[in-house]
Amino acid sequence: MTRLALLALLGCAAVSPLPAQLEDELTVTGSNRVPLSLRSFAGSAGAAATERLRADLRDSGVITFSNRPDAFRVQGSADGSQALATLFNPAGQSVFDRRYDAGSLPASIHALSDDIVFALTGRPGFASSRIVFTARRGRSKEIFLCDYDGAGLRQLTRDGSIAVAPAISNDRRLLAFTSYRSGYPDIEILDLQSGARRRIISYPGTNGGAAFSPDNRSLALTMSFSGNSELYVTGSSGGRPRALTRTAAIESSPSWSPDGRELVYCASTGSLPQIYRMSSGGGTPRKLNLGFNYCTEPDWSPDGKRLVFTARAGGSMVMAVHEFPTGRTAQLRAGEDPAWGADSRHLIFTSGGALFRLDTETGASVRILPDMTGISEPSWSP
Amino acid sequence: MTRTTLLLRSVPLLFFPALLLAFAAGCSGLRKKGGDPYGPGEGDPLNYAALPPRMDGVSLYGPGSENVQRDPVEPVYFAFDSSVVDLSEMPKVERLAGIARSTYIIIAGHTDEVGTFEYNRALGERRAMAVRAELLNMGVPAQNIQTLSYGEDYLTGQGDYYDRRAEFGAVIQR
Repeated sequence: MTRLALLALLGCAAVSPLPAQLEDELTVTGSNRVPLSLRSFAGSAGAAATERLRADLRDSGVITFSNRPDAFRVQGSADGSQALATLFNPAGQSVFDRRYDAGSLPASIHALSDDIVFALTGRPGFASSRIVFTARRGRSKEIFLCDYDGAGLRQLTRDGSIAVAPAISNDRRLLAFTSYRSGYPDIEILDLQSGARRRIISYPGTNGGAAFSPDNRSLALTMSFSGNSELYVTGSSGGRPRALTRTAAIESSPSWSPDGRELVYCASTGSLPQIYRMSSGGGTPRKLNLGFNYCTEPDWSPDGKRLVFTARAGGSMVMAVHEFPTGRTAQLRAGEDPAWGADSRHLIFTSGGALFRLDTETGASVRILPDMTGISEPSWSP
Repeated sequence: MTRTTLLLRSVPLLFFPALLLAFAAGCSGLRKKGGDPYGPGEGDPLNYAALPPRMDGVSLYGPGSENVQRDPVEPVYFAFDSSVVDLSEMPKVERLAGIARSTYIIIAGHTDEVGTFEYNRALGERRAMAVRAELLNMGVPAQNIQTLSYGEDYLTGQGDYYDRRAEFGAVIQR
């Protein structure tokens, strides 16, 4: 359903970038939303749980609240950090009946929301996801973590230095980032549960842009110790790095395919950066023809079908989506550093130092953390 | 071999595709036509001089910065999105070579705030490496030169031209 809508969007846009004033006309209405009746939850935390679930399901973009007889129905109760919920199909049969205790009421409800979205659409939701990003603090840059909607904001580094390019692992347990606190760009890993922090890469030159493989066991990154920037893969707990490129070009911003077999990355052969695709085991890279002469920061969608990247068009930075099956590319809106959500439909990105979530199906965007500025390089976990 | 490669690198890289295509036209069969002749994965294996280990207890802005003289030579400035050391900037590089022959130096590449952060870190590294290549051509030992990139994270506040730079630090010998 979602894919058809994006195809329609891509079809309108074809390869040529759209004039900005046409963007609003790309809106596709959500006729494919699943009707759901949400009953107020019982229990001491029932009101908070109902409100939280309503917000999560609304933000998923795949639900329309309805009391029609053909609607699915969810009801339950919540006490403390726990929730009990049952999802019924329109025939009144239970689809699932589950108990949630994820440590806090919001976390329990996020998990329930994702279960409902998956049961109704067959696609993962993003309510339980985490966002990490860099934000400027005076002359420093520090790394922050929050929920998909900005709630639960936590500052993860307080180095008074430059901490950038955060990447969160797919199991939401580890953070990899580039830290300058030694005076040089190193790769550090922070365990988000224990708080343990370890410098795993500190080769001469610049080490940066680490990205977790889908199984979280490897990192793709850029290093320059050989005398030129190259792309490498190394173990996420350290180990000997394996070079994937050996070229005069400068490689950066690797992103893994969901099966871990391939990488996309940005490479500049002397002037304008382009995006390349290659096997994560090494081999010959292939340049993607994306229709822009300046393409950076690629991010491969979790469903494997799309690539989002930052491009320069008409002197400003815009985002664009490339669809692998059709080879088509469509320009989205102004913004930088887009990252896919677990549903391969929503994106987070920054624009003017503010963080946004964009629904690529409707074109609607919402600002996350409206009081915060100086944000860059967001990464979004499943 | 190293020397040849490094010499090549000091030529504006923009001209490479054209140059190589011209060669390909001249000696048919040597190179695929219509590709990206200087793109990743193609061309001859490169032979750069590896960077030396970082020197303990020194850095440009971090721990040990008190052991480093900032700006022993004023920064080398670059054109937009370029990592080519302009001829007009070469006197600075020559002065830097005079220092680096006997002193460990750090070259930090920077960019203006146009473009994305991670790409700018790559561009800053390329600028640092471009100055390093000139120093190696002048006979400076590779073990005396460390590089890093700050991308666009240390802007000068003086405008884009001044932001697009490679700046230097020389370890103070006590």
